[in-house]
Amino acid sequence: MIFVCVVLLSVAAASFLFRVLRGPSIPDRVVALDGVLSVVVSGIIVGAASADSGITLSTVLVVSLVGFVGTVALGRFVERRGG
Amino acid sequence: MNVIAGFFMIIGSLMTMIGGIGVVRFGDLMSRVHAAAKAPTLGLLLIAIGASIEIGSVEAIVTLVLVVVLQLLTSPIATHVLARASYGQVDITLDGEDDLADYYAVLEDTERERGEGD
Amino acid sequence: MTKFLRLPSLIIWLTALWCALWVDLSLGNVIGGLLVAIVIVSVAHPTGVTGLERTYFRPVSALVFVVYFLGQLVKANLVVAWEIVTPGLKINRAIIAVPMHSSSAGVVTVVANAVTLTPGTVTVDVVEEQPDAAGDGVDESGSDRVHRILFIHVLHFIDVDSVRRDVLQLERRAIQAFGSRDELPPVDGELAELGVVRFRVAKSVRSGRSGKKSTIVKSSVKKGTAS
Repeated sequence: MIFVCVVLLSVAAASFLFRVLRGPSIPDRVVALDGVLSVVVSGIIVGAASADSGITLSTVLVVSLVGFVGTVALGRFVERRGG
Repeated sequence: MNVIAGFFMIIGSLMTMIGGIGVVRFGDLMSRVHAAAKAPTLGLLLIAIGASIEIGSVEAIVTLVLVVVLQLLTSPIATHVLARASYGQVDITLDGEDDLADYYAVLEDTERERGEGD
Repeated sequence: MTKFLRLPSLIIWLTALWCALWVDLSLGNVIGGLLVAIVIVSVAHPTGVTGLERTYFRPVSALVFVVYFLGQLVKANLVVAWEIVTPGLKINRAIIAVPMHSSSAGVVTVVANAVTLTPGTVTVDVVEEQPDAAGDGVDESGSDRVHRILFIHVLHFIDVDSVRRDVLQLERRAIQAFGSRDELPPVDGELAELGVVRFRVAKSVRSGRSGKKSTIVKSSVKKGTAS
């Protein structure tokens, strides 16, 4: 069961990374990185479920906060410098 | 492993994967924003529900509730900042009307008139 | 009375958040959280950044809002998922302007966020109405109520009315949960024009403060809309 989840999440991460490499403009890449962030958070939660411990879940809070700030910062950069 | 928890987690991972496929398939920026903003968020919600059923400790449930609420609050904000920043700069193809372009045109006209009136 | 409770409830909320982050309800932790909350609020409140004016919190309505919003979230993602998986992409994109009736920044933020997570819509821009629309130097608004307009990018665009209907239903529930009740009649009025009539109407409407009392109260059928 965990194996299926990990496979699905890896496919999701791979498609987002494809868009990061391929996307014709910067906002495409930023959007895809936001998706990668969600996949990372989901992956950590799946890992915590498989290890049956709730201790590692504190890292998820930090990851989502830092990821959010990063996406907003990239958004402001796009606004100022152009796509 | 708990069957219900596993079910939720698999559906959640499926939703995230569909979001990823959507980002690859869609042709222009704003449609990709649709796919990347909504599908992984729901996937995260479902995976969190599944994990909280599986782990079951108070610590895990409280932390997961916090994470989900945080993600639900902040992901649309990041999306919106990006959409607004890239509106004028990336070619967004639209099949229908564009009210925002009209609004900016009106704004420019009023400012130009105000500048000429000085 | 509500004004006095705003600052203490903010402190209580911050303390609860602190305790939830540490997952620790011992007395020392609660007191530590209280101290941190008081420090934060005393530093932030004079700068006006907490934005406490015109925010309310009604727990039952907030729960209704959250449940409705979660339902829309699931529906949105099923629609988008179906769209992605089926081979032909039938999308009709447009950007629509929807004026907001609430003047509270918190309510508009909540609605803009909820709109991003609901079927086929993403908020692109939020602008404030210029108080000096005529350009002749006269401030027409006359009050401190700022009205905002949401610009929404739609994936499956049918017509303007259906978009406005969806957003206004969200806004109505958001005002019911988080805003001041006297902003409800204009929203109800516009919803009635668009064909959605609610079963339970706002108390201020029923008590006769607005002129639209008879038309809205007498009807008891809620015409559902398929969005």
